Amino acid sequence: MRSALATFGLRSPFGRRRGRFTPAALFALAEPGVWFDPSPLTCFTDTARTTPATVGQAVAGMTDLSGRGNHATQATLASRPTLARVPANGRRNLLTRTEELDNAFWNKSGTTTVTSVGDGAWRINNFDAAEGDRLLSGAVTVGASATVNGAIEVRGEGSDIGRVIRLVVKRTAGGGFTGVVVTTTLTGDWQRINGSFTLGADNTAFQIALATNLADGTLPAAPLVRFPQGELGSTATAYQKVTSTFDVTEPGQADNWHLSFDGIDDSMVTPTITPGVDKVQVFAGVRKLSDATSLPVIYGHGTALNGANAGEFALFARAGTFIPTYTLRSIGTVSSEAGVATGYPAPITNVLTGIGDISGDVARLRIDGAQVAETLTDQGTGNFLAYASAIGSRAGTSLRFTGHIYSLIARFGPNLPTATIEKVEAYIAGETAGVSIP
Amino acid sequence: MTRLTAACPADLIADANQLAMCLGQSAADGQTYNALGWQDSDGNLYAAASFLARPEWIAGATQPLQRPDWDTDEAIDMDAAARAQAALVVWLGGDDPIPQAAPGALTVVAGDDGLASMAAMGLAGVPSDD
Repeated sequence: MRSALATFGLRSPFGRRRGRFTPAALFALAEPGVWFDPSPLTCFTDTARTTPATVGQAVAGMTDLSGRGNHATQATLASRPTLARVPANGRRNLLTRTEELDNAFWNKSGTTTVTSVGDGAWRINNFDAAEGDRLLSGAVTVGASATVNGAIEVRGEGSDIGRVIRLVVKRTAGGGFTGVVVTTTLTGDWQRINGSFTLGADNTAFQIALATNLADGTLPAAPLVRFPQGELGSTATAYQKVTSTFDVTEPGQADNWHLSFDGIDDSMVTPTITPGVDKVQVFAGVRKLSDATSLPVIYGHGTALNGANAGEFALFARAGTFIPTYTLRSIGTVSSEAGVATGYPAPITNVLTGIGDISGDVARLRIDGAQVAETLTDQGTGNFLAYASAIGSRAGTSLRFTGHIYSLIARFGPNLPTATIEKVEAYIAGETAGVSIP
Repeated sequence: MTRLTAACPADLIADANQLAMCLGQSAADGQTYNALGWQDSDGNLYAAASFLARPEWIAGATQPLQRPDWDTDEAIDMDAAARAQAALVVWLGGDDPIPQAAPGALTVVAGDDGLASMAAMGLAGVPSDD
């Protein structure tokens, strides 16, 4: 019998296979810290954590799994991140509302209408009323010179069987037509058709359409379609259902739940955490969606995070003009910073590990299981001090992160052996969609 | 639900937070607009909020304001909330151009991507020197 959790595509963080590493081991000696794995099991729509959140809902409370009781909250309605899910192998289908063709994302030309026939399939009515695009997706921005693929399943009924339908995949801007047209003859069975082309250097977006052309003969009157997909690359991959930006699923793939931060005002904060030590390790599985703002904070312990206050610590998704990518700051009475100067532009998914040691003068950054930066300059003296920690911002007020956080662990305690760090990184990778580490 | 992104000029923050409480769930919504992290091409500063709004929120924002049931202590300054409501410029899609943020307006724009909405309103993040 499947467990209730498995029925809903969820995994208990405490119920993993016997012998498999769980981050609970990091807190076995009551080390201060936090462990967040966002999901409907741990996220709530109220700060008291009584009403579980579902996909697409704003999260007001999130359970700390470390056992320290440092549950994260966001009391302000507008500033709550959104609970979301994507397949474990990452999102590929860049279209949206893929089983809601009556949504405004899908433009119906002229007298065209759509009718749901169940199981994600739709009938396009009045398809033969005119030549040209009859059902057209919204624009999908992918970047200049990208190769894109569009796909959809089509089927005919009655007299439409034997008639020709066109799938068009094209750029959204510029004069003339640049794209690909794929024609196929409708049968009584579902057929998946696809086509790909490469955007020009001056084009950044594409869309797909189902279209008619009188050169094809008698036009189909009401073809059936389902499962549209638009993705990068030249190959049509397995269909992913995209209900919204926050809800992407794929048959056969586990859901990777996460919090989605909008980069405007979203964040969560913990109660005051008193580390009592001068060593910290933070682990995070993140998808960074924007590099547009300076110093977005993934996790910050403290209120300044810039060296103005002693005893703070922060992991940034980008560090202004000084270091343009992931950066770690470990601050005793002196601030030390470890980051890499190039690479990791958004959008990108990574497993991050930050290690701070004030008395050891260590600030170390690992990305995807490998050390990428280490700074051994003086961090002064003292312990990490008592502050609230914030997720997705600096102290809940500024330096907003844009992207997804799949799993987040911060532990104030003795340095960990490399083997343990690697186990935690493997755990985080397992919680994070579309990333793998050696 | 529709994602709305709002740009609030510095002089309207106090009133806009009263409106946010009036349309919100608790006194904590009085912290909706805080840091002036955005600026227009003239250097005017704005606070911002981006959130998923139920249809009731949109309806409530355009109708005569009523004190919410939770505000039994009458913490909300309804006059201030009304001033913010009068300054609302709301764009929910369609063929009209997206309004540009302005110092006298509480500009609200619909769109799935909050950062894109901020850019569409003519706003950019204030660079941090941290």
